[in-house]
Amino acid sequence: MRGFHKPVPATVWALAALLLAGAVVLPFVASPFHLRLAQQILLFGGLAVAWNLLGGFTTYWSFGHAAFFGLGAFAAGLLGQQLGAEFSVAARLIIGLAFAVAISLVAAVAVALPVLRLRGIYFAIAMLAFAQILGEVSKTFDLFQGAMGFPLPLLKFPGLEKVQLFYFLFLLFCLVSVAVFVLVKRSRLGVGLTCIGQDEDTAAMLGVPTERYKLVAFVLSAMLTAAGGVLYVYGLGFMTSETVFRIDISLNLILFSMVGGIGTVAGPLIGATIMILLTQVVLGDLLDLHMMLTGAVLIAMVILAPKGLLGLFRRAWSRRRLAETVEATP
Amino acid sequence: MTKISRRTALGLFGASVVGSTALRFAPARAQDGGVIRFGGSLGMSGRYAETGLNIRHGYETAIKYLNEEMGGVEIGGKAYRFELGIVDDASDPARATTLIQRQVDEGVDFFLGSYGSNVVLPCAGITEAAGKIMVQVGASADQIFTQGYDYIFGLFPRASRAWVTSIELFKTIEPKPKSVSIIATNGAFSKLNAEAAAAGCKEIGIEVLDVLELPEQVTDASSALATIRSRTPDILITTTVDQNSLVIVRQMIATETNVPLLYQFLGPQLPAYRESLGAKATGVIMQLPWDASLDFSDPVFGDTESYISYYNETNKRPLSYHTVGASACITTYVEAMRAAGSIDPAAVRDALDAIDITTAFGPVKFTEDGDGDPILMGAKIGQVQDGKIKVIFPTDFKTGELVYPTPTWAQKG
Repeated sequence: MRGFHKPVPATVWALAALLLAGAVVLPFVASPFHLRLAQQILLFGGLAVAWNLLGGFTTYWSFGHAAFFGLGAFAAGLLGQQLGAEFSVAARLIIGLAFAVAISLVAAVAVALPVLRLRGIYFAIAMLAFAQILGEVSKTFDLFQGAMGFPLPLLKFPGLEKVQLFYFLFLLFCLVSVAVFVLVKRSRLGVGLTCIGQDEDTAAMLGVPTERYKLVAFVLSAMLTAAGGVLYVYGLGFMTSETVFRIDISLNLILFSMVGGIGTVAGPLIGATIMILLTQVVLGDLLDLHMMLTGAVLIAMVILAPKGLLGLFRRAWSRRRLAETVEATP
Repeated sequence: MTKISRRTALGLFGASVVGSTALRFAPARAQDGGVIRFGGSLGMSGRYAETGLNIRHGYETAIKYLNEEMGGVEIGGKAYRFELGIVDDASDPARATTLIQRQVDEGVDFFLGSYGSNVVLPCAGITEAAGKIMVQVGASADQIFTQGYDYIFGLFPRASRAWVTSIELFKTIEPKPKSVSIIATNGAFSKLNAEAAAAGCKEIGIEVLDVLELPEQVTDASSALATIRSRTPDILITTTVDQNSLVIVRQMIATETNVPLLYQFLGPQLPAYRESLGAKATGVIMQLPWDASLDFSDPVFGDTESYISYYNETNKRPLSYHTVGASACITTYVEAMRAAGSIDPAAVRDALDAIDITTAFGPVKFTEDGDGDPILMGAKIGQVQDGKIKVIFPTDFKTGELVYPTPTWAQKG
């Protein structure tokens, strides 16, 4: 599929390098509060990018990605308990991450086989139910300790405060999500998924292996989400079922993508940045009004920018170029 | 009429976001100018919103009283007024930690707690690391008090000790109960209490026949009740929350499931529960984290009765034990500051370690780990008698005698 995509312009590479350099320096100049905000933007931005691997290209919108988030968190947390103090915290985290990703791969394949046969709202509801079921299971069986909760060990790294250390871990997670998304988008898989999003039946008729492509995108998305869940609970230091199996986590991934622009790599990151700043900084102190104002802003965004901020920007840019072309025409 | 274009609207929106963000980032020292600011987060939306609002009303009532009725408080020769800087964590631990971190960065030294151990514990990690105090009434998981934290205090005993007074009561019952069954739901709160109750009963030689688990939202308890009928215990304990307790007791009445003593952890405290069941509620016992009939002296409000009348004059929301406990958090802080003669966090922390007072909520004395003393601050035990709650244990607080065994549902009329 080489040649299908234009080469990435040098300006984009330069901008990305500049942003990355800024992101690396940030923990050494920003306050702990700003770092925690940045942590959330990187984590949930990265998760929204991972959600876009399927939901962004196609119309398969998962309303239950918290299932994989929680699955990963529980897998790593419980394995860490079994490994015990004989293993360092870093080793427990790394082994836990690998285990969580492996478990989520198996779970995603198992759930995808029946669920990806459904389309549209049926798929969304099935995923919602899947997350609810996992949440209940984690609370019902004492083996999982989800009802009572359990602490996670404190990860330390010489020379770094906890808030700085987790900032870098979330940054790494976000970069991996972005890299996976970009690689998928620029591959045959990405083109196939885009075709599925436009018309799945026609794509299948034209020879696109729709079932396999959807499965791969779903599994990749689930694995990344599980990894995010592991880092999230290690960052908090304590978890219960209610910490991770939360419907608002699933909904926020969709919301961030919608606000920034679904199907793009920058959109979910922009959406996460705007919404987290809006709800936790701008409106954070408005005790009684913040939910109402957040709702009002969202309605305004949907009306004024239905394709997200990137869509709005692109529309404005094409209008401007059209106007320039018209002016230049003799 | 001038139309606002989409571009203008978005521009205005963007400018307001940027402007507000810039203003928000301007730091503000919390204890400047004789004003002591209490920080913290509460779930005022989301899963824990109802209890969050109860706690918020308690904080606000105490602050209002200190500023408006007392004109502030003198600490170490300087007069201080108080300010409440609570934010909504939406019952989300990640959001809560970020908002708490902001307040720590802004220089807030004194924190009040959120609700729910999964929210409070991560926040406690942040305030503890920064050497800031937290006094809270919304979480009692053991893990909060077993981390070795020096600056975290809770008005309730840790969860595993919440049954100390109940077990002491069981020891005094004549004829001595021989067996107990427990019904729990699969939530943290209910399970933890069921475990603590079972462990306590075993310790004093009461056989635990069954620990039955129901879904978090109870709609049908018939299978559990069939087990109870087949192996009737002397005491049936339900470690369930209000609505679930009501569902269980209604099904007990409908199926004539009689036990000599029904202990419902939460539910009978509410007037709605007792009104709904009428005479059938007679004899049910419960934990009373707080009860209006117990009058304690309070260094800020005078006593419990004065607190209740001030609260009712200034609030429309019905009083709950979380509300009174939240006000007691502020009272406890103020008394510790007065005792320390300073608002230096380390000095106030030391004063909290040594505090031994009564408030409208009851006695306040912390263990070495920072949770409430299990006997002094543990729940009292009440029993519904003639439609009202009588405190039957501990002996010092008694307003009535335990009725045991209680009449059957049919006998209650």
